[in-house]
Formats: sequence, structure tokens, C-alpha cells
Amino acid sequence: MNASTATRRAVLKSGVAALVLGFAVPATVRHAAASTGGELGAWLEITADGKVRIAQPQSEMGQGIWTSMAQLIAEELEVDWEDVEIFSPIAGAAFNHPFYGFQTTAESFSIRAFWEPARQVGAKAREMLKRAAAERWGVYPGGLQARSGSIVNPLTGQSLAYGVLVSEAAKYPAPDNVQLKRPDEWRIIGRSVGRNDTPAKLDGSAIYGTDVRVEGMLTAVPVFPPSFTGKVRSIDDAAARAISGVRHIVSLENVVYVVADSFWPATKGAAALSVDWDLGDAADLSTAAVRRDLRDAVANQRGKPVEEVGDIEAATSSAARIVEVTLEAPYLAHATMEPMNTTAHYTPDKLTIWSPTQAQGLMGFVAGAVGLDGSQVECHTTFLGGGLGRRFEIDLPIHAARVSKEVGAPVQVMWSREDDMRGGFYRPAAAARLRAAIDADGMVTGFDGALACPSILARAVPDLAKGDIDHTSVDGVAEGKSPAGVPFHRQYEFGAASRVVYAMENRAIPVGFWRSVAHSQNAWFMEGFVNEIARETNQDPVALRMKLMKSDRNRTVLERLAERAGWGSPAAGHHQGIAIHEAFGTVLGNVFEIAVEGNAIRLVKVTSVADVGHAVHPDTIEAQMVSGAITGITASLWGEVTMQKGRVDQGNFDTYRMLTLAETPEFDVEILQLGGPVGGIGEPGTPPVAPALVHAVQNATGKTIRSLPLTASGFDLA
Amino acid sequence: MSIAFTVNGSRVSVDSDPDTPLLWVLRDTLALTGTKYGCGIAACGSCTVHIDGAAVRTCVLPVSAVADRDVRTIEGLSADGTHPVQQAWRDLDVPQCGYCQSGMIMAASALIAESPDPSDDEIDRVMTNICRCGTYPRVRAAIHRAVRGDA
Repeated sequence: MNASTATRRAVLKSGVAALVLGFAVPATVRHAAASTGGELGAWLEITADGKVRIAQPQSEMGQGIWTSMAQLIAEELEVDWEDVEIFSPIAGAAFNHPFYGFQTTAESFSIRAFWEPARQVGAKAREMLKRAAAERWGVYPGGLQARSGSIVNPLTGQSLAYGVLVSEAAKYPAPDNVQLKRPDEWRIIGRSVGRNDTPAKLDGSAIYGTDVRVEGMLTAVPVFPPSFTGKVRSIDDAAARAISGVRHIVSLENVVYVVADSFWPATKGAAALSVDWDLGDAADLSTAAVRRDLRDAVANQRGKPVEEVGDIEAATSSAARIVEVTLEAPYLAHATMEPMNTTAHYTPDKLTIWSPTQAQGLMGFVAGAVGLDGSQVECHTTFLGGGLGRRFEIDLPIHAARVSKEVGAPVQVMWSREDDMRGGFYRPAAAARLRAAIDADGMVTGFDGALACPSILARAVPDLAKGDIDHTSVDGVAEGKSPAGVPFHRQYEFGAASRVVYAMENRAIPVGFWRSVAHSQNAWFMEGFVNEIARETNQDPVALRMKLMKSDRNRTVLERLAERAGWGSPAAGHHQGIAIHEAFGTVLGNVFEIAVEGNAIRLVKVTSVADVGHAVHPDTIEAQMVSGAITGITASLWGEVTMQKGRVDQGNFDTYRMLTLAETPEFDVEILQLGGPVGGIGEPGTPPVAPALVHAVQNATGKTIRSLPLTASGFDLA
Repeated sequence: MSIAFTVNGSRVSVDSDPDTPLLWVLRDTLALTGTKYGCGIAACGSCTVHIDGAAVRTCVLPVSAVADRDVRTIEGLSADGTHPVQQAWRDLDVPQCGYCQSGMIMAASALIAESPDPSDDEIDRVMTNICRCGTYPRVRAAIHRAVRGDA
């Protein structure tokens, strides 16, 4: 069953006469679709009573994409927002991401990538509806207007609702060229309409992955080895099988699943299961050893050059002085509120997946893992109880599919909080040694940088980590392009000479995409470094940045931030810190205002200013800026995953602390719309948090802080 | 073992091991999936329901403890989503991913039932649920709005 028939059936079942408005997908999407066998249409349905059902293929994990994607389509379609319904379609090639070429939600790249294609979807449908009306009235479509779900002939006053035109409109080919509305004509883009996903999230009716219920479904709970290289040697399952409700024990080599009628007996079975593990090479691995290796790599400038301009040796040897810092960041867990889960039903000719996934387009690999073809998988996307990058991984879908095949029934794989915390794919630990050559006037004349961290791409997408260079690991610190052809960018110009080397230090600890990826550590490195240059050279951190920034856009954001936050004049007894970063097409700066007594910090206020080019839904952007900041605050204060002998120490929220309501500061967010390309919003809020907060603590205490989290330096909240 | 109690106004009787946490009886036996599992150690509050009107975390509460008591879940907070807390949550678009919000709403509705116009200090003390999205500023504003009718 493809997406079109699925939605048709759903509509027929509801008893509403309707037709799927099928038309060619935008050119950028069509190219990608063709390469994977593709299908057309499936974006829109208009019912006879005028309701507009918009498919929303991007994963809703809190960022508000459910609503803002539909706003783009509804704007061009000329319908009233009140008539819009949104649904999560079965995954299909029609929904391939225009940039990545497969259906996915990642890198704050939904609105940015669909900015034009989604509006084209609405505009093409609008023109097809006009043509249907024109045929009826025997006039040229050019003179007709689309208004609030109807086509209107302004000369005659005639009007026909979309619902009566849709079946005729669907017969026409989609026009190639359509005129998109000018920003001054927008009625829905830029408006903070009520979020379409809110009502279901207030009465328990929203379905997350863990809420999927399939007839005959069993629940599978994992037992992991205490090592990332562990493999099953033997299993003693007598005690587990004795527990009422336990049905099967399934070994997948590096994890064993206890399968039961429901979660609780499965959990009891997992606790009773005895597994003899071969722990493998990583049995003695510790994060302390990895961190030491990273420091060693940057101290010795090991690795591959990723940026080399001018003569950095000459620049440093002739400098009046050198400012140098070595900064570190720990491994971090995602800890999404909804623990990891996926439901799968394997049959010999079809695999059905229900998952809170960010990677629908990778489900062909999941089919492959159970001996099926990519065309034999059907993926339903539920709401995601947070994604944060963890749900780009397809380990859960693969486990669910394999266990379902093994037991011959639909299976929901369900990890506990501890399984999630210890199950891998962490934000990599990282180290940076950054040096600036400074002349007698305090100007930066050269930049010599060294970065070291495990590579996410070397594990997840090796083709993008050619030459042992992972662009995501250096983005924000270095300027250039990876051997795989992907650019990276730094917002500062550091004189005529610059050199950055990157040491890819891969280890057995699985690393993955975490909210803002390496910007989460690289903003801390770069902004911590710039604040250090300012301090060492007695310059104001804002004035120094104004001199170093490459772009007027960044200067505009910084100026506005300094003004709004009252930079340089905190309230009596308070201290400020500042940082600004460019990532995912957005420039965002923070000023933290805090009070400190001894080692006890009180967060008073966070002022954020961001330029997003155009704001589709300002209220959601504000929410995401606050959300990104709270993720960053939590990580800066307490975030650290450690391992002693092969096993992660943290397990639950008692050992991996989260910010609470009472600890949350006041937020003041200003969204600028400087009119450039639209920027992402899900991730840019996180990177400039750690450096701004640490800057404020250093300004308050005079202490030097070179490593995160702040608790490692003896600080904590009051 | 058969344990009888009231859920959202209806009398139910379940056959469960008495040590099964109420959370899993609600989710897996009674198909009330609005109440969420987040941590299993009563740290996050995603599993909060009302028991005889008080907010209780159910992931560590054995079902035997609610025999003959009155349990209310997010599905039964109001017939049509119009409880003042739900209304305020809707007005301010509080949820992001939304996973913690059932528990957050149950905690907030129990708070205002007991304290009709809670101070910020009371909100700080009572609203200890964890939200990974960081909806906290809006949660606070929505609680005030639910009782005062403003933001």
C-alpha cells in the first residue's frame, strides 16, 4: 500500500467525499525521488466540505515543524488556517528531503530545505484549482483569484469552493512555473497561529512511539553487555522464562531481548536473565583515558590540516604576544523524555514499522536487516517525545524488526531510562588548543588551532569522513571545505595567517548527533577563546568581536544583543557573560546575567537575540530559543557521561541531572528578520550557552574555567 | 490477583501482580496511554495522576496501593479538554515534544485544586516534573493564567 491509497482509504472510511490532489512534486524533490524509485503526490487532500488535509512528513519532536511546514503550504494554497488539518503520512519518496535525498529531520533543516518546495506544493495546487474553475466558466485562468479556499472571478463575482473543484483539478498536470507570493502578501507565514499539535498533547490522545498498540503485540526489553564491544557467550534463561508473561528470549549477538506480554513482566524477566558476556576490546575503556588522549592530540597538534592560510609560524614568531587556551568538553547523553522504542511487524513479504524516528528514509536498511527489500517496508511516524538527534539512529527499528521476525508477532522494543543512558550514541568528548597571535595594538594577526574528537560521520556516514576529516567536527572553528566537499565556517577573521588541524580520535564508545552536533562544543571553544583574548588584551568582548567578525549580519545581531541586555551594566551584585555563534543558518547571541556566592551560582536572566532571516512562526521560534538555552544550561552545569571500566556510570535522572522549573532563569528573546535566507531554529539556541555562562562565572569569580561541566570546577547552582 | 478501583469515574477490576506499578496497569492493561513512562524512579513526574485528588507518581506505586481508591488520569481530567489548566496550556502553546505534559498538567491541576492562586514560590516547590524541552517558563505562566485568566 502506498501513501496515496492509504490516505484515500482513511478519507473514505471517514465518510467524507474527497480526492487526493495528486501532482508532480517540485523539481528538486523529483530528482531525489527518481533515484529511489519514487512516487508522486500525497501532499494534499481537499475534502468536499472544504477541509484541507496537509501531509507533514517532517518528524515533530517539539520544534513545531508540524505547524510551520503546513503554514508554508497553506499560505500559497490560499486557504484559511482554521480549515487546515495536518497528518503524518506513511513514509514515501515523495517526502524526500530536498537536500539529503531521503526522508529525514535533522540539522535544523526542515523549513530551510522546504522553504521553496513546500510553498511550491501549495502554489501549484492553487493554479490547478484556478484552471479547473476557468474550464467551468469558460474563461482564462490568468484573471482568476484564489481566496480563502475558493476560486473567485473578480469580473463576474462568481466563486467556486476548492472542494467542488478538486476532482477536476487533480486531472491536470502540475504547472512547471508558478509565481510565489511576495513577503508583503503573506497572511499565514509570519503569524503565530495556534500549534496544530497542541490539543492532542493536552488530553493524552497524542500517540508517541511507546503508545503504539498493534493486535497481538508483544513487548521486548533489552539486556546489554557491560561493554560496548560485548557479545553473548551463553545465556541462562531458566529464571526469566519462569516469570509469568515472559514468552521468548531472543539473542541479537550484542544484546538479548526478553519478550513478554507487556512491559512489566518483560522487565522482571530481564532482571532475572543471566548472560555470560565476552566483553571484547573495550572491556577496560574509560572516558578518562579518552579525554587524556584528546588533550595529548591537541597539545602535539596531531591530525590533518583543515585550514591553512598564510604563514602561521611567521605570524606567531613575530607576534607581540600569544594568547593560548586549551578547552575541553565531555561526552553527553541525549536523555529524551520518551525512552527509546520502536514497534515492528515482520511478515515474509512486508515489514511494518511504527516509530518515533527522525530517519524514515533509512528504513530500507531496516528491511535489509531482516532479508527484505527496501520497497517492502512501510514506516509510520508517531510523535517523538524529543529527538535531539538520537532518533536519527536506526538501531531501535532494526532490533524491533529482528525480534519480530524471530518471534513471529508484532513487537514493541522498549528501553528503560537506564538502557537509554547506557545504550550509546553520545555527543563526543572533545578538546581544543587555540592560539592567537596578537600585535602591539591588541589586534589578532594569526590563528593556530588544534581540535580533537571522535567522528560521528566516520561511524554513521563514512563517505562524508574522507581523508579522516569530519566537517561537523570542525564547523564553527575552521573555515574551508572537507575532502568530501562539505563547507565549514567560522564567523571570525583572525588576521592574514590561520591554521587548524583536526585529529579524528575514534573509540569504541558510540558517538552520535546531539542537539547542534559539534557546534555544541565548538561554540564553547571558539567563544571561550575570544572572551579569553578580550580579557588578556583588556578589550571589551563586544568591541573585539565587532572588529573580528566577517559579516555585517553577525555584527547587527551582536549590537542589538549588547543593547537589549544592557551589556556592561549589570544590576548591582550581578555579573554578565556573552557569546554569539552562527550555525544552521541562524546567528544567535546570548548574554547571561548571574549572581555568585562562593561556588553557588544563581541564574538570573538570559537575553537572546537571533537573526533567522524570515520568521515563519515567531512564537515557536521564541520557544525553541528558550528550549535550546535550557538544553545548554543543563549540559553546561551538570552534563557528563563517564565510563570507568567499559560501562557508563550514569543511569537515570538521579545521576544525570536536569534543570528544573525552580532553577530556570528569566528569558528575554528577540527575533530579528534581516531578510536573508531563512535560518534553522531547533539547534542554534544551544551552542552559545556554555561560553556565555562560563564567561559570566569567570567575570564573577576571577577563576579560570577550561572544562565542562561547571560542577567539575566545583561550581553548582545555589 | 484481582484489584478493584475507580479510573476516571468508572469502576475497574484488574488481574495483576500486586507489585505491578500502577503506571503499567494504566498503560498496558487499561489502554490509558496518556500517562507516560519517563524514568521508573519517580524522578521526572511524566507518570503523574490524581489519586483521591492528589498528584501521585505512578511508576513506583504498586497497583495494590490503589485498591478501592479514586484514580484520575489525563484522559479523565475533563470531558472535552476544557479544564482551566488545559485551556491555559492551549492559550500559551505550552507543549513542545509534549511527552512530559500529561504529568505536568496533572501536577498543575492538583496544585491549583489545593492552592487556588499559587505563588511563584509554591509553583517552584510543587512543580518538580522534568521537561527536557524546557517549557518551564510557559508552565509557570500557564498556571498563573489558569487561575487568574491572564498571562
